[in-house]
Amino acid sequence: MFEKIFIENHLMDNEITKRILKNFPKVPIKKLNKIEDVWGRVKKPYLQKRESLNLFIGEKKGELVKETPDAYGIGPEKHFYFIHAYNCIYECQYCYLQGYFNTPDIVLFVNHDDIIKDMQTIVDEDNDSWFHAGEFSDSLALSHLTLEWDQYWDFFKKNKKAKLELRTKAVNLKSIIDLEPLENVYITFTLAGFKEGKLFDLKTPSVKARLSAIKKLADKGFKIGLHFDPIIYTDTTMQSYKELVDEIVKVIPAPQLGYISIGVVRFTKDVYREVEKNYGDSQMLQQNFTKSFDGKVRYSKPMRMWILNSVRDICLKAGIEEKKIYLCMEDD
Amino acid sequence: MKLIHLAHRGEAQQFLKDLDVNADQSMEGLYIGHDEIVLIGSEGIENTLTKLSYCLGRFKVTEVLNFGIAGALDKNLKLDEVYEIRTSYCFNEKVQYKSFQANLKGLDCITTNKRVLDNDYADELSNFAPIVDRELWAVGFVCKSQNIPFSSFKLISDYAGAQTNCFDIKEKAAEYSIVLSNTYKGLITKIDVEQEYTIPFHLSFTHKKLIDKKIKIASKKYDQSYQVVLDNIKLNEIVNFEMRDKEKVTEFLIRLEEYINPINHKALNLLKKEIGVFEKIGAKVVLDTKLENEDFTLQMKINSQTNIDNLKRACDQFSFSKYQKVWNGEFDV
Repeated sequence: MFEKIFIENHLMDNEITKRILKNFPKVPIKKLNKIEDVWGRVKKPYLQKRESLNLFIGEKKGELVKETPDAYGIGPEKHFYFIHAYNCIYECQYCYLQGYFNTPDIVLFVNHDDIIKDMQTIVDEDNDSWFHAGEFSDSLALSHLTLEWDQYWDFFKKNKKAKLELRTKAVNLKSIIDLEPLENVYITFTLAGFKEGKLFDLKTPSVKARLSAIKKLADKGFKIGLHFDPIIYTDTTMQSYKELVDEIVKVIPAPQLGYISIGVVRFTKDVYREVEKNYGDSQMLQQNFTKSFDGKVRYSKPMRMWILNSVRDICLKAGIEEKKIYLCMEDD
Repeated sequence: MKLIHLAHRGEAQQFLKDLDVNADQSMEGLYIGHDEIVLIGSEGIENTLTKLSYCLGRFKVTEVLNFGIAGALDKNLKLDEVYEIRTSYCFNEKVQYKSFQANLKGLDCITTNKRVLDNDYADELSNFAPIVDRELWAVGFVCKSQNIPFSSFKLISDYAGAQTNCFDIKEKAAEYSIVLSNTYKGLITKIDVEQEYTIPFHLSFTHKKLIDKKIKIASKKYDQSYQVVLDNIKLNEIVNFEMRDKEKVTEFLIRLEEYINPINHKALNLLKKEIGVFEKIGAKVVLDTKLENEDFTLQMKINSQTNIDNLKRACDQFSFSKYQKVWNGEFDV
């Protein structure tokens, strides 16, 4: 999986570092003063992640928990995201990480105590805040290496009104399946239609496999959230989502479904440029995109509203409660 | 025409024997043939930048191939083996941010402004690439500026660091040159066959480019050949229309657009239908054809009470809520 592992000197004896290294006994290790001495110093082409990826283990400095942009999550509460890792092992063609960092190399931050401390400071002021994981990485894909989620579970058991969302496309449940399902913790899965998942979510567990993982969690009593985001239009998109939603209602009992967010594919200018470079022949790009109200590149307004309305209707017709459906990053 | 770039005469000697090239008087180290140019660019970034820039400016080069010896920063690499290079990085007093990609597969190479003669330096460089040389990044720099693809093949002559022995490397130059020349001979050029199509009416240069772009999009979107795309939009029908070529081009573009994006096409037609009440009375209506901005503007000449009465009637007939419904995606597809 990794060609080299770079570790900050002072983290060599860290428990999480040791846990990670146990999985890679043959990978050469290099020590650094700080990961920024190497990570992101050169522009490493994104698609090199297919052939070689390095791992960096470091301590996150600066702001560890940040307030989210508007329209990020459901409900009137304050929303925050926290930074536990950079980059992802999956290769979704629309991923904004393509244009965000200078390198696809993975960073795992191990100072979760500091993150939790900052969360506590926020919760002491606003006790019903949301905290989202998975902003710059997948929450669960590599969690079997780091096994940090039980620390967060303890925090959310103690702070019952605060809420945690773990965003993922992974089916790797090892780090959480034996934890106690909490009312204020949501495991949220990004899903697409079966065909669209195959076309655009490269090197990622199939949508079918994700549904199986969802069922395992639902059977254990976990709260589930779903992200139909980004929706990428093809001629069979609506039929795909109908089939998907039909499966979802069989797999998730209504009380355990927290919310479904619906969003249409969108890119910043920089990300769009990278996507064109990396996936120029993708079906995803064979549409008319336009610069929209917030400067992002999107489908035309009538088209994206039609897509949002149609998918929302599919959910409503399948019996999903309207209050559980929200539009992501769109002016409603 | 291909340009083969090497740094040293020692590396180039076999190429000069094998290829039909002759020395050019304009620059030391430049050899020109019918199909290939060989440039012995000398060592270092600056020499490479200047000499290669001169050649790419003077000749119509379609591809640059760099061959040379290099040092290994990774002990797992084999001596005397040739590796194709993936991405080129640079360390010039400090690591440079810019990189240049030659290939999707292969090993990375870092170009330095000085020889790697100590182990600490080698260790620092190894954080970024397993191979080190003195020129490749400059090759990438010039090629990128001219939008010319480049590739690179490096023969590992030694393990870079305190154990580097430049004298030994010079002794083996002839042998290395044979290996590199054989590598060049072994490359197989893949030729992409472009699809062709004919539009049997006159197209301006701009229209030709636009149509070309849109046919490619439609072809990729539906995984169809260009001919199938043209059949599906019924090009033959347009050809037989009794109209000028300019109008045929407009109709052709409308159909192509509808084929690529039927939803946008439907939305635009519905919006035009709603604002049609104003156009019927002679007003000019300007709508955002990119379908992002909901505003529309009306322009009309008023020179009689009749104009005013017509405008009043049109405003009464126009339903803003119907117009807005289209913008809100409330239509069937």
